[in-house]
Amino acid sequence: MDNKFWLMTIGITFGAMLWRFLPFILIDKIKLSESRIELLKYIPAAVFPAIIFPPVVFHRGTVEIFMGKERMIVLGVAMIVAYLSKNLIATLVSGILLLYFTNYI
Amino acid sequence: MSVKNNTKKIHSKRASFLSGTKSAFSLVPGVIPFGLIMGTTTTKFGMSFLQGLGFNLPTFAGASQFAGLELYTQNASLIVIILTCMIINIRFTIYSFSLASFFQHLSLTKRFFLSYLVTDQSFGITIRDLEDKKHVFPLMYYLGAAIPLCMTWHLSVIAGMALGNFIPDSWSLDFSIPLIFMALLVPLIRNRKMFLVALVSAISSLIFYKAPLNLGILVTVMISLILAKFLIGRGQNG
Repeated sequence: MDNKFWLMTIGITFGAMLWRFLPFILIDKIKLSESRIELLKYIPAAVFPAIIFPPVVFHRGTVEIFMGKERMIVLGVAMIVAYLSKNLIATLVSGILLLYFTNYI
Repeated sequence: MSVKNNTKKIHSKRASFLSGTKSAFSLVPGVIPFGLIMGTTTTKFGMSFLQGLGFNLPTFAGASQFAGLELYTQNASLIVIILTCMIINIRFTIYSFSLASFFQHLSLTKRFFLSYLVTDQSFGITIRDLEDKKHVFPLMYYLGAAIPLCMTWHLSVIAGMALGNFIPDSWSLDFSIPLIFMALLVPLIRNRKMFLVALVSAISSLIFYKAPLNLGILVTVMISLILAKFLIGRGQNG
């Protein structure tokens, strides 16, 4: 683990600490507006797809009939599993198993 | 399940603490797999036991840790990684604002320790169960719920670190990070506006993938949030 990794760890730590602790100090002075709280609910929708899709779409796989894009197909299936089950472990296990078995097609 | 209309106060500190712990246990099955995967991922990343602890104990913010690891693998610049993680964690401010109202009488040092325990889960049950002001000592309820949840997470991470050594590389565990975020995202998409924001985020992240310094993710988040603000505004007027 290089210096960049540990600087990242420090950055994540202080960032999380700031968000967690600041309201405990500011509680006497500030009140969050309704629309601000509403906007914060959109953060997962704004951030998570940008973490999910690029590494999957640009990944170069090995399964010829999927033209190396087996991860995209498995992710599509995982999206359906996530929608139907609303369960983290079911989504994860089905995705990993399915990707494993694409090697045998 | 808690009885909402029960006005009988709970005066005992011990009873409040145990009541919190009891509620926390219903969430433990959801925390353990997430922690196990975190631990396994740190091992697969090449971290030693101590390095794994060094990464997990201070941060204690699962989703942002996974995002950090993913962006680190993609060689994103430090500032992009940290800003992205901060955006993911900004939801903690809502949690802390809501929880802080119960603990205004405490010293700042004590509040600091309480703030470390703020997570999606500890917030979720505490807000649900303290709403009716049944507990005379809300602090004891919060500690009773949040401490076991915190310990469950860290112990699952440690168990996952040990487990990581037994999982062969052919299982493509690097793929687990996109899968985890998919599993977290899908249940949070509650309406068409959120779906639209997610879709725009996905498309934008692909368009800007080759942007210098991996700034694409921050550009994407900005575009998506501006869209979200626009959609929220439109919803309120119409």
